[in-house]
Amino acid sequence: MSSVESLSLEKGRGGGGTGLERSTEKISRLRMVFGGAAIGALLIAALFAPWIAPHDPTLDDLFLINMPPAWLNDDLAYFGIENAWAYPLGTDSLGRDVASRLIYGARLAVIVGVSVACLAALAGVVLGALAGFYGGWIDNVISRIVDVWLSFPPVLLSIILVAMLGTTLTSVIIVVAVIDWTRFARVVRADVLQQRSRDYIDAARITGGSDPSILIREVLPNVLPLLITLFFFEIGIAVTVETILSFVSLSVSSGAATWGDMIAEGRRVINEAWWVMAFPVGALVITILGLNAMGDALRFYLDPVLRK
Amino acid sequence: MSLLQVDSLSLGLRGAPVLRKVNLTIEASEIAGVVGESGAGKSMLGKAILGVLPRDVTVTGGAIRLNGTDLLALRPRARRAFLKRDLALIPQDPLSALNPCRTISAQLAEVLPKGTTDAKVEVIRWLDAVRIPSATKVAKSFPHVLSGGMRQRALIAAAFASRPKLVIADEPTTALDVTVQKDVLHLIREMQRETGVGLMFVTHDLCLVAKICHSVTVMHGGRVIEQAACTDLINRPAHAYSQALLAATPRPDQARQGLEPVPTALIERMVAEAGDG
Repeated sequence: MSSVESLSLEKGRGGGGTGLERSTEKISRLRMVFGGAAIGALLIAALFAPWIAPHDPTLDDLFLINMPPAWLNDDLAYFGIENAWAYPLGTDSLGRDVASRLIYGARLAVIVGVSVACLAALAGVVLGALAGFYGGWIDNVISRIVDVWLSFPPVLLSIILVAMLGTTLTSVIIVVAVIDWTRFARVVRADVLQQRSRDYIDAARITGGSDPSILIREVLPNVLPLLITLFFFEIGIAVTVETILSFVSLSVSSGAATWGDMIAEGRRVINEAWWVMAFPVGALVITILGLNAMGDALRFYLDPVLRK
Repeated sequence: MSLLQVDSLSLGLRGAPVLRKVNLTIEASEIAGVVGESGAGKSMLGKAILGVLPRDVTVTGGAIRLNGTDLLALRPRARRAFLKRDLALIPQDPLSALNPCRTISAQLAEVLPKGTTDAKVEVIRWLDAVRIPSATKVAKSFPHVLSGGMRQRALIAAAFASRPKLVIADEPTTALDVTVQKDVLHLIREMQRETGVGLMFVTHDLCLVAKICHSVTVMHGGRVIEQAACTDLINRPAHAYSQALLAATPRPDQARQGLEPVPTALIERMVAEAGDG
């Protein structure tokens, strides 16, 4: 009896859609807000770095070594400054402003993340779609290449490649894209394979569609929601890999402000100045969470089956 | 000249025969039933005519003539143009036959013949014609919002909206529940009468054939077993297999007498005969 009652109660509450649908929508909206805020902050920092950053990120000042963040700074006389908020997040072991380095680091993260995701998506979608749509030997060749690619440990491979290509921004972008295109290729291939077995593809063929037009007009729009999720996910991964590379001094030539460089630097002085490492780590975590949340939320809003 | 003439068509799946020298003729405004059990090759016949055979299945011989033009001899581009103009499909599974990310009206507008002036009005006219309630609203919807029956109606509208000469209905009622089946069947017959197209009705259900078809082709194991006018086949089936199929069909007018399964010996004999030819 109780089960019947609770069932009817649940039904009675339903305004529009089931409870599950509404909670999915609520979660998606939360994700959108959080992701939007994180990405927005990141983009603002990246675009307007020279105007927002209080100091030159590479300017050192040996009188201001390991100064704590403004709200913890109770010894202004020692450092000889009047306003602690001139250095809101403190300074590192060379007296460089942590906040400014964080902001310039965001700029690099955005450039690397977006470029890598675009390049990897381009290569992966083209090859994955061809493999999934045409099958046969084309699929065999592309899939085997992907398999071989995936058998290399990615971080090791990227370190070797960067060491070969040199530590410039372009080479870092190329290296990470070259390593990560397989993610797109695999996912797109699987999804295209699934879509092309549906009857609407046959229907499109009967109404006179050629292979390229079917692939572009019928199949790819159905793959798009997944692709966008993956795109945001990939930006996060690229940012992480760039951080790893700069952590081992293999990214943009050292001295430039990158989060990985800051983490490596802060690790050495963690006992005296935790803030040097804590802020870039926090920025990295929030960036990646935000990107993933945004990707998931967009998938919900773009997928005609999920959205109401 | 017949509307559709399939001449000793053979299909192979990596060497194994799928269809063996199948002949079939459909006249304009005729409903031709094609029946057979699973694996008889009836759906493959439809797919071959429509040019959407699975990747591994190839034509190994014969010809498919639509108004005298051999479809198999055409180049792909010319064949596509032919398909678009003259052929349409009512698919088996309405759930997967509509593109999930485009609206009903976008998908219907696509099949309208060239030179249609007001596509929007025309789409709604067709949705009304297949008796979809509140057609204006449905036209703007995405497929997943609609029920299976509604989707099948939309697909029937799409099939006839392109003003084809031949419509191939591949088990159009199989995926629907029984109450909807009857309506959809009536709808197909009505649309066929109004437009005067030839209709190839592929099914495994002899009752449906008896209801709407003019002629029937019985298939088994990739070959044609018997071809006859519908009333003749139902009342005086010539081949033992057709007789056995009819004996295995439940009839409301006959009391609850036991149904006869198709005898295994008969199938074995037919397979043996097929092996020779």
